[in-house]
Amino acid sequence: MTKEEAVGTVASLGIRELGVYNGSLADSWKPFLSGDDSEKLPVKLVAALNNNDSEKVLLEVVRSSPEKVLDGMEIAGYLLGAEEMILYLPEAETALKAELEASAADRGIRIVNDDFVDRRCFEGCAIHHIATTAALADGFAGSYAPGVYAAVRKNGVTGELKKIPYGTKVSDIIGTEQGEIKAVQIGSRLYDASALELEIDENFPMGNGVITVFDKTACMIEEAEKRLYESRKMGCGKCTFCREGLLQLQSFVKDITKGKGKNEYLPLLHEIGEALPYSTMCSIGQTGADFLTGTLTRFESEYDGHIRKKACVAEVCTAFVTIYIDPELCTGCGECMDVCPEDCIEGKSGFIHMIDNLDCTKCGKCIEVCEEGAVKKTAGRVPKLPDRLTKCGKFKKR
Amino acid sequence: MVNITIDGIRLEVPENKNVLDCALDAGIYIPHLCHHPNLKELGSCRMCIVEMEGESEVITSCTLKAKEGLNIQTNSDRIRKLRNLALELLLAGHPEECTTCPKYGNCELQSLIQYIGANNARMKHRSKGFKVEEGNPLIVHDMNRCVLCGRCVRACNELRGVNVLQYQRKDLEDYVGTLHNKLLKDADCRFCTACTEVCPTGTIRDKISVAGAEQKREDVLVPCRYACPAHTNIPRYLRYIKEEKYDEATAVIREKLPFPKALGYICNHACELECKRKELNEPMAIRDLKRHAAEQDTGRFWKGKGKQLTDTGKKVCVIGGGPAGMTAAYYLRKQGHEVTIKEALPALGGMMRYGIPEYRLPGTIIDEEAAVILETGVKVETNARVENPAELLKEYDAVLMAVGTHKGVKLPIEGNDLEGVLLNIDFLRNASMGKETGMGRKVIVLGGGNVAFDCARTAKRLGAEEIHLACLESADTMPADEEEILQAREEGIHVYPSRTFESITGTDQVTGALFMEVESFTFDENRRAVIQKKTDSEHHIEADTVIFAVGQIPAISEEAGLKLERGNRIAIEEGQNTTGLKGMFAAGDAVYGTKSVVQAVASGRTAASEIDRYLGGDGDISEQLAPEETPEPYIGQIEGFGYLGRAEADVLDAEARKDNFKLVNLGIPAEKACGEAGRCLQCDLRLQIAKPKIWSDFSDKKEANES
Repeated sequence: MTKEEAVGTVASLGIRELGVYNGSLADSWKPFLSGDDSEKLPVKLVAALNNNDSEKVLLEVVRSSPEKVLDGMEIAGYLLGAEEMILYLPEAETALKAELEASAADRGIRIVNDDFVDRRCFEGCAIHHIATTAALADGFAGSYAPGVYAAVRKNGVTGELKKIPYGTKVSDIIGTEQGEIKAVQIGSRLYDASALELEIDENFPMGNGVITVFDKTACMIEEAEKRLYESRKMGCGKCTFCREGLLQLQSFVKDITKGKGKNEYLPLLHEIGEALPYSTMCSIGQTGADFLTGTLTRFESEYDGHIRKKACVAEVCTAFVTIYIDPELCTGCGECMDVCPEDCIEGKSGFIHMIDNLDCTKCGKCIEVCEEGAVKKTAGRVPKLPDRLTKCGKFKKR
Repeated sequence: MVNITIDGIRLEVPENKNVLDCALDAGIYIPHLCHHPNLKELGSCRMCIVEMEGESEVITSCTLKAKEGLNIQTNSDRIRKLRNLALELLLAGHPEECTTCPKYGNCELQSLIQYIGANNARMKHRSKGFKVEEGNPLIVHDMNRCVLCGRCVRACNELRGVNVLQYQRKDLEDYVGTLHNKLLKDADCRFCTACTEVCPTGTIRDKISVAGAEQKREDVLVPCRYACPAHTNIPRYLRYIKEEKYDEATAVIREKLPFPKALGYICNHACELECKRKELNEPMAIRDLKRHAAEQDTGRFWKGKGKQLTDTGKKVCVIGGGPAGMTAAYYLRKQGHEVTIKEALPALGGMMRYGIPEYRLPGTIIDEEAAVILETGVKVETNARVENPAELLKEYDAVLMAVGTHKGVKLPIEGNDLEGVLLNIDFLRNASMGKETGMGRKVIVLGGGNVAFDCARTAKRLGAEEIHLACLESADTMPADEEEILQAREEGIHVYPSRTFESITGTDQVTGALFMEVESFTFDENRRAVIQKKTDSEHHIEADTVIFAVGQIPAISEEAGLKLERGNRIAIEEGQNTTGLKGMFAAGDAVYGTKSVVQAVASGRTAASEIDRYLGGDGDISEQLAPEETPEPYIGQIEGFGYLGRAEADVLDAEARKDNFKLVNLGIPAEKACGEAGRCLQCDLRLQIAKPKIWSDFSDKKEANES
């Protein structure tokens, strides 16, 4: 098989690049194969996870079939005439590196433990997702099956990574025992419940392959803030928009979750969020605001709630909730007083306890410890409460 | 070459050249910040974004390569909005107050703010809270002002290969610094200061202010070269020495002066006092290295190769064959004039020969270097004292008075004309000529400069049993070189700083001198000495000889027909070497008083240039002797660079030297020379770095074109 024929095979199989660039693998090679650029730098071939992948479930592809990944790299390296081949494994995966080192060395592949591929160091080089090289190996072994990888994350638990054929509906991936779904995050992007009806096709941006399901207990703004923070932690600090833009976005969003949001924040969130995808060098900045822009377009009402109505529908943002002790239920046992880290619960044995809302940080420890369920959280109005020490059972609502 | 269009202007540019540079070179300003002409593109700041035909998103012009048919717009609402946003983001973490910043007025960020018109009002402003690091030599780091353009990191890593500065992060705040926040010296920084040069803001700054200084920028940045009166290109020749290219090194020195070897022995090395390396530990041993190079030199680059213009038919007489006179004669001859030196003493050299003792500068060195001057055709008449210089103007087209300061000065104190009172100049001259000096067994030298020490140490070598040296200055302010004082003490000479000279005792013959101790010694606003003596501190030192070494003046009188000023010095016209008498020039010590050999050389050079112009030449005496080479900017890492100690010259043991005129300083050991030269910070490398363009460069040009 000549090189041209081999590249033709890649094209005819329709093998896709599964990383940041979402398109035909053969097309992505055109600049390397055309050979008319005299100033071309020596080509290096890099296989890695996406920089923005904090979950790293796709590493399973390397774990389960390391030879495929390495074979695929070797094939790509050969076809592109790469002078160097580097496999990036996450920083923590030193054991995996050690395991693969010998077999990689046989193919002339160097392995490094680094979560971050500095694209600036690989100008004019081929950077492929680990899953892409595995697919490439399949392609030449005659076992290529089109599709994507996905793992479902619910209630903080990530399920098994599965290969999903194109044409599968999102709801089929998530499964039936789902309950009420408010939002779905696929890769870096956020969708509302209508996403369940989407079919995963070859153009679908799967990102890191994780499909996260949110029910009504999730505050989308608070979730956005967490993701902005995560992205900031991953960034290398070079691109202005990634470094400063994500910082500004996070501070604005944080203000909003703290009840200090202002209406004029919203156009700025849009402006910065929309500029990020094309104002940064790698996936960390490019997708860092994806979730946020999703909340802005699909969960606009939550912003209105937080900023204008001063309410978090999911009752997650503690700034908008009040914790109080139901005078009807309190038995005056003192458990809540003991666990309160702020010492802001007043009372004595047999008397109805009272929370000083000035000092309360809304940590919720008192709610957990109360066996009577007397400590309650509300985003709405607080009922009439005693204002002085009152014996249990003696409080009258009047 | 390819054709591209920027804002409707068609340009022919080299293929693959980045579009930003294409625009800037064509006079089209595109704002930029992380771009720097000497550094690889980073494409991070987003100031230089442009729109390209056929491309939906904006792109950074610094990373865009010129291709045939490219059509670029540098300005549109969308571009302005995005640029504005990028700058707002940068300003959100930058101090708001510009005027208190040392970079105010020279700041590229400030210029961008003016051009783009952004402020931080929409953003959440924060103070980064970094401590300003002032604990490093030469360089201040104020990371609160950093906008992370990454120029310094690229300069340090890609341009210099030193790899000290890296992106760092603390509590999610990015900054530039060393690994584990080590001090620069401990991080093996080479203090080339490329980082300060490329920093667009007041983040990484020179401790000495370059912008506000009176001197030219390059003189502040390369202070050794500026401090040298002859402006020898020190960093350049030290680089050659490092590579053991002594011929090249000496040629560099010879481009500025004809006495590399003599100066290698006795130069007062003003350069070393200014050497920036002293801020790290010790200054470079520039003088000793110069000597080492000159001693290994084969003359490959300069012997018979320098400038020699065709004869002009003009005649010049130089009166005085010291360093100033010889230098002037040498360069005047090279300009094609016929030059005659008239020297009052039996040999050329002036104070180099008759003032500086043989143990510091052997006469053979002077002979050797004078011979080079004579080879050019300079004629010499020795034992030819000129009584009436003006008379010479009948025979010569120009006359240069370079007569030096060959007359010692006595202080007006009691007993100053007793038998046994000697003068520095006479004593040293007689000693150097092997004549009787009139010195007894116990000697007191009055004075604290190098000449005083020359007298004391010469007396020692001539066999004086007891030598005392006293001076008005305190131990730390004595004008003599430290090394002179130290070596004199090693030779058993008693040194008494902070003494007044009350009187010289004796009736016919000196029996000693009376001193008092000085409480304080200052100068008033009229530069008059104000001395406070300690009460009851009068004491007597016995001696049979007292040598005055308190200065010297030109041995010239009004009868010579020249205007004289304070200190008997020949008056010259402001900023020139002309005396007021047409065709009569003056240079060297005779003009400004006793200074140094290298100062005399510098004075001789300016006089030569001036006389050449007077005689119809262009006055350009510059020479290119050493090969023209661009120094390597990639200097790499050297472990422990900041701690490398100065290599000292070997010195003859006190016991072995104190009774003879053997050379005391044996020079830097050959095996240490390259290493010592390698300690140089190469401050001049920074001058290779280009100055980035700012918008006012373009608006000025536009205005100039319009007017």
